[in-house]
Amino acid sequence: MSDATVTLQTWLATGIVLMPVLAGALLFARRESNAVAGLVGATGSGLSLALIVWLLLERAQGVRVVWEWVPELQVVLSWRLNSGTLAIAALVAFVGVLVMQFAGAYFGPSAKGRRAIATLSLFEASMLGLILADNLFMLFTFWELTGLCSFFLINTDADKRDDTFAAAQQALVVTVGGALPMLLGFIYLASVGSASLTELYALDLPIRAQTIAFLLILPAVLTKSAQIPFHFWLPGAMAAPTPISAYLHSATMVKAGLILLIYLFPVCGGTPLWTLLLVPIGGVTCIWGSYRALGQDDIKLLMAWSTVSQLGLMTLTLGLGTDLAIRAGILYLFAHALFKAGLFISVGGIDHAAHTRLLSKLGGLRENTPALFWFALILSGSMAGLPPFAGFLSKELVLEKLTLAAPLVHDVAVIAIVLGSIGTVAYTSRFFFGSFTGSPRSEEASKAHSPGLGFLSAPAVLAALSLVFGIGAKWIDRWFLEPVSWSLVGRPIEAPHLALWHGITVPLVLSAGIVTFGWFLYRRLAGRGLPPGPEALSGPILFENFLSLSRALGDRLSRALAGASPSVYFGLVLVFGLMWSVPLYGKLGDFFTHQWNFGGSLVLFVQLLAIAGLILLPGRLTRVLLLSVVGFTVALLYRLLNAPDLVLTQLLVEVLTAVFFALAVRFIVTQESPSPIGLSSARLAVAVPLGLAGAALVFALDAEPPDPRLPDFFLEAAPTIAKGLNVVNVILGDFRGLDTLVETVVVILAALGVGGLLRRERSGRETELKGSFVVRQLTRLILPLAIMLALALLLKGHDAPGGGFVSGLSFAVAAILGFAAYGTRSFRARIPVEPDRIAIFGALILIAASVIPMVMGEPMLTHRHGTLSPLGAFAIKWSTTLFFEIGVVMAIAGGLTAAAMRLWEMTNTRRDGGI
Amino acid sequence: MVPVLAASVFLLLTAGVYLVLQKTLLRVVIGLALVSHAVHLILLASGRQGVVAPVLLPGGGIEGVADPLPQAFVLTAIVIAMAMTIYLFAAMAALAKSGERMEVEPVPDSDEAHAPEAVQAELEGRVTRP
Amino acid sequence: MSLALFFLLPLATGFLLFLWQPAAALSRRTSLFVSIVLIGWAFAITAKCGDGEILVHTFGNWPPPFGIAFVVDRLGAIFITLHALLLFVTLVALRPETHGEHTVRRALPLLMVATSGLFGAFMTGDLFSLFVMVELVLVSSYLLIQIPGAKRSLVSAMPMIVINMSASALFIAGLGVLYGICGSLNIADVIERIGGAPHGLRLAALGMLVAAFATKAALVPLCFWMPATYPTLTAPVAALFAGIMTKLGVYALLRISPLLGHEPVLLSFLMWLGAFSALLGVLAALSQYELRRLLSFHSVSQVGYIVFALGLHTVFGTASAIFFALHHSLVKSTLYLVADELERSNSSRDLRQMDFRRPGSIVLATVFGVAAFALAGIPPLSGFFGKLAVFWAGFGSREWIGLALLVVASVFTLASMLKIWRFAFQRRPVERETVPTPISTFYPAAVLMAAALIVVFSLAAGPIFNYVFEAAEQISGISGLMSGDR
Repeated sequence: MSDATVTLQTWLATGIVLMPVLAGALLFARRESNAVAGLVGATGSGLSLALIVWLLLERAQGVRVVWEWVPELQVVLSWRLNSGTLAIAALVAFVGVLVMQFAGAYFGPSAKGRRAIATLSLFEASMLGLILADNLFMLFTFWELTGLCSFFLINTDADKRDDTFAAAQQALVVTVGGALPMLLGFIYLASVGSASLTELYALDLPIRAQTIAFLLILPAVLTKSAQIPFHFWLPGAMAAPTPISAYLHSATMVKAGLILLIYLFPVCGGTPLWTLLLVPIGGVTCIWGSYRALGQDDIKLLMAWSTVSQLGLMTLTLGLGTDLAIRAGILYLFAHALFKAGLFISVGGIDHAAHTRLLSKLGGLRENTPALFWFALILSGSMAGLPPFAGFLSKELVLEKLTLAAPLVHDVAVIAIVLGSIGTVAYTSRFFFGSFTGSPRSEEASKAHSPGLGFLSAPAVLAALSLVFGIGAKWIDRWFLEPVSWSLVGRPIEAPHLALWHGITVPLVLSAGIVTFGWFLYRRLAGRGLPPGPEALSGPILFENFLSLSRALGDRLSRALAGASPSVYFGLVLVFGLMWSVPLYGKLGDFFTHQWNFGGSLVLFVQLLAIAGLILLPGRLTRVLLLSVVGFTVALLYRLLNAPDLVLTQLLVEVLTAVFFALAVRFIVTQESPSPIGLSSARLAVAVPLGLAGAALVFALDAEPPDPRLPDFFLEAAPTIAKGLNVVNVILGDFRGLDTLVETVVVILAALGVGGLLRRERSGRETELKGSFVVRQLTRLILPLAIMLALALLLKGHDAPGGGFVSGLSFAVAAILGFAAYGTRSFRARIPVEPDRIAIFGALILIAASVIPMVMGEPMLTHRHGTLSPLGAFAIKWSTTLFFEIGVVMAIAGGLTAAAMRLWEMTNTRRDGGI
Repeated sequence: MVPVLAASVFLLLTAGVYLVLQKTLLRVVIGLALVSHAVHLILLASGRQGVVAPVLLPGGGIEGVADPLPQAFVLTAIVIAMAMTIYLFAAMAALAKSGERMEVEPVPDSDEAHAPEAVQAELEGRVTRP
Repeated sequence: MSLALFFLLPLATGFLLFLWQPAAALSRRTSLFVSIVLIGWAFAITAKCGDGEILVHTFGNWPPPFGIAFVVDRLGAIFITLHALLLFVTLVALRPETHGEHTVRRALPLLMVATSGLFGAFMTGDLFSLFVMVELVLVSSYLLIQIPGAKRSLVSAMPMIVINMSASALFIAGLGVLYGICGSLNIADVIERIGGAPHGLRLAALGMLVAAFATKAALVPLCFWMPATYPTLTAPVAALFAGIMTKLGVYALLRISPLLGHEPVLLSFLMWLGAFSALLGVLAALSQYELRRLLSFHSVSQVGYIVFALGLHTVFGTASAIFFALHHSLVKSTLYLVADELERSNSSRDLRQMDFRRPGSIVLATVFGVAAFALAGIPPLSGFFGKLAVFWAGFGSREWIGLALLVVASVFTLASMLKIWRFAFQRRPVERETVPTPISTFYPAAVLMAAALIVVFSLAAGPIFNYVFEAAEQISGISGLMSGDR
């Protein structure tokens, strides 16, 4: 085959799916009347059909890859073309043409018709894609898209009735839920074999693999094809308008499961579970569907339950798991699509003619709608399996097939089919005679008018086809069934020829018996409702219960997860983090082998007292004071650990935190109880093990030989390259300047945040509240000293303990002292800029210090150092880190001062009764 | 120094977790402050402790000098923790002003103890006993 | 163009806006301009990293591991691009006309500063500067939370601040122990040395980091702060938060995932945490009626998928985690933007008080449909590929029970999206008597843009997954990757 042909066929196949999409898009975009919309939809389907016929005539065969969508996940858009897939596609497109045309007539002037037809077109495209896809994941994609479209389709009448959402949700959740295991199944198949159906056919998977794949895929089949116990969504979906039901429940949606079974038969048909599961499930569905159909008054619901029954029959047939059974199943699938589509459309016609669908009100329609009567007669005959219609032919084939099956399966299957079929004959009779014969049982029925051509053409065509299918058995066999079933099964099937008359055979006898008993049943039960079964087992109710149960569970859960008591979770975070250190408990033994440090022990003792007081003493302020005491002991520990910068920082931070606490205390402690916190054993049981884990960590870390790389580098490079003797400060200002920059920004933001939080409190902004005379005089003395100290900390920080942070904190303390003594108004008057602006300028200086080296072609935050000797006498060391550190000082000092002032003003306005 | 350090970490962490598990926000915040102290000490324990502070003398060697990097880390961490604590105080104040309870769990033990007058009394040194 | 500019440009913009405080419209235009520049740069570095190049910027000319370096590989580039795009969409949605002059003026500089923090976090090759960057992002987010000024936003911010302080304490402690056993905090250096570290301390260090990041990523049971906080944020800001801020925890986990390989128990811990989050999060979402609260419970669930895949610790699993994270960011941001429009047009946050008959309903319904079905994993939208990838990964690692939890979770995801549909978009037969007046008019640009991003992402899933896969190989395969020498 030439490349050009392959390319052409790829495009043609893509076109099949694309045509309805285009039609749908056109209809979404343009406001057309429903009649035109129906025409556009039908044209889309018609073009698809034409392309399918073209490919059939070309005898296209093989895989056509369109697009490698996600190769790593094996998602490839490719079409599998052979007479089998194309024939099923042709059926879908053909019924599509008829249904769209019907829909154009059905919706009349209603505004939603156009959108419904557009969605129906998209649905058709998804269905065609599902049929033609070669890649399992694309098949899954189209599978889900059919479900999604059906959601919107079932929901079409939302403006008229309020049960559509529940029905649509049921259909979508059930089918999508069922499809998820299938996705796993597909992944499994792709991992043991291939994601391409064609390639899978060439493999012979071991039975175990076949079984696993089958079990994973089965839920999807059962849910989509409405098998018990997932059948309930199908009758519910009757909330959709008739054209939609006619399409979804005849040729398309519900057939997807069966089509998948047919496709998978060559892949995992070898597992014994295939028969063991499918036959009983299909059988039960077949019987139950018939039974429920028999009890319906609404003929549309009757058709829905009949669909359930016949889907069961087909599942059972396919479940027999032999080539011949598949052949029979394929034939029935086509026959069913034709008569069921025709019957649903006829129901639409009846509804339109008599304005009712209830058997209790219908009757005698033959008089007024003779054409519909004849078409319905043929279609019903086909459904009931009467000769010479398609239904008869296919049911014969199924029954004939049974004589070849294994004994036990045979018995089960025969009983199920016979019972189901008797029911079928009975409810078909009920539908047909109840609607068309007798006398009208209501005024509407007696005044029925013949529906227009739009309602009649589709049943006419479908009835004709059902007839042709039966009469032309010989040709159908040769030109249709043989190529289709052979290419779907992947090998030639030896089978007796299809014919209406085989002589007197077992199947014929059974058929005759079914018709007789069916008729008898109809006569006995006519007009009597049958109980629908126990309500507790009703699908929709179970589904609703399941959803509300999940909601209730979720409600509890959300309360537990995000309710009013998160304190447990604060602890849980720490538990989750520290529990991994518990295995280090062994190291706690080192406690006794190390030497104790006297000074350290003293500090520790004070710390212990402070912490004990924190927990055991009453009083809210005591707690905060003792927290400060703990902070000071920690500073002393830093001193013992040779960390002078930390000592300074810790002390200043402790002072500042205390100041802020003091400023906000009135508001903070209002809800804190003054009674002692006390000991509770449950909390201790959590806290002590974690504390021990922390101690164990310290011992374990001590036992590790420290890595000298980084400290030695810093200690070497700081004095030589970075020109600084206080290595901690050099690290902050130079080696790790980025951290310092970001951290400073964090402080600025926190300070601005304090301002923002208290913004609403600004009405009595500046206060003249100030310290007493003595305080002011003292401050006058202390303030210059404090500022000098802060400046010294900044300038000397490179070589001695100090630096930007410490200096900034000192400035902040000085400033707080200042405005506390003089009042914020005079304080503001004395400084040129608002403190929060100073902070922002500080940040901009930091940014400038970052950018300037970059302008000079160096990386961000590169510093230069040197010695300046004016007059040759002094040697003044200079470093650009000073510029950076000035930014830090401005930011920290400005930010903290601004925040403190805001709190101060808020506190004091309150005391003045300002707010 | 190691046993002291370990014992201190044990004390701070135990008390910290214990307080974090309490119900009122102030206790939780105090607890977190203690946990932060413990964490900073663990951080210092991770480097070599040395016998001399990392503030060098001109021309001096680097023998026995403490690892400066954890100290720099701790300094950064202290400042960040301070910023967060200050912000938290302000947020608590703003909330209290707007009349919102800010307990983690709404379980006050007696309403009188929380009245503004009671707080005022405590501030002025007239501590009320429950 | 230097990597440092990614950090400096938004930071400088933010502080200039703080200083000048121009009118909201001008401020917004400036930010939009900056974000467009950032998108351009982001695409440029994504292309460069796609060729296998690793971009490095060493601060102060100090070579790693002594100094700090920004190191951008594929993973970093992906997240930078993602954030740049989401920032743009957020800025488009955040208009003074709809959200108020005051809000926009205050939010923009903070968004810019948060952006620089995020970029810094995505770029830094040093764990301690990752810590400070995360703190920067957190503090900006606290400030953003307080903007609406409502009591509720303050109340909800409290637990978030406190839990993040706990997590930060663990973060630092973990870093301390890691420094003790590896001798540096440069990621590449740590990856190289961690193999020789003693087991006990290694477990302790990584355990603390995992707990800290799991909290920031909001996994069950450490997630409670998120559903409390996000519903109170200014909506477009919430969109950005939901899209990217929770991913910061995920990003950090991804970065340390090569380390976690040495302690498999932590990986299983993460995996189970992820699988249970996926299920429990969505169950909790199902019961909610407040739209944005529902959505934030969803985030818990979806992050569960990501962390599950990450916990598998295979290249494929990691790739799936990254892919899923990208998908989820786009989709969740879109949903929050839709929620914003719905809330404003219905004058209510409660689903039960919503009504579909609104101007722009059809556009909004379409956008919602795209995002919601993408989130529910309906093919061929991005969520399907994400889910497929995670399932593939789980399959490869034979984690059947975890997979089963995810499968059940995905059914509920669909059910919860349908719940939103039902209340916000379902047509009803009975006309409502009173139709509340919308606060403002419908503004479709942002939601349409977001939906377009989802569609493009879905269509380009192939190349994107390819890129992501290479990113996963890069972070997990090659040691010494983050060192600045290259």
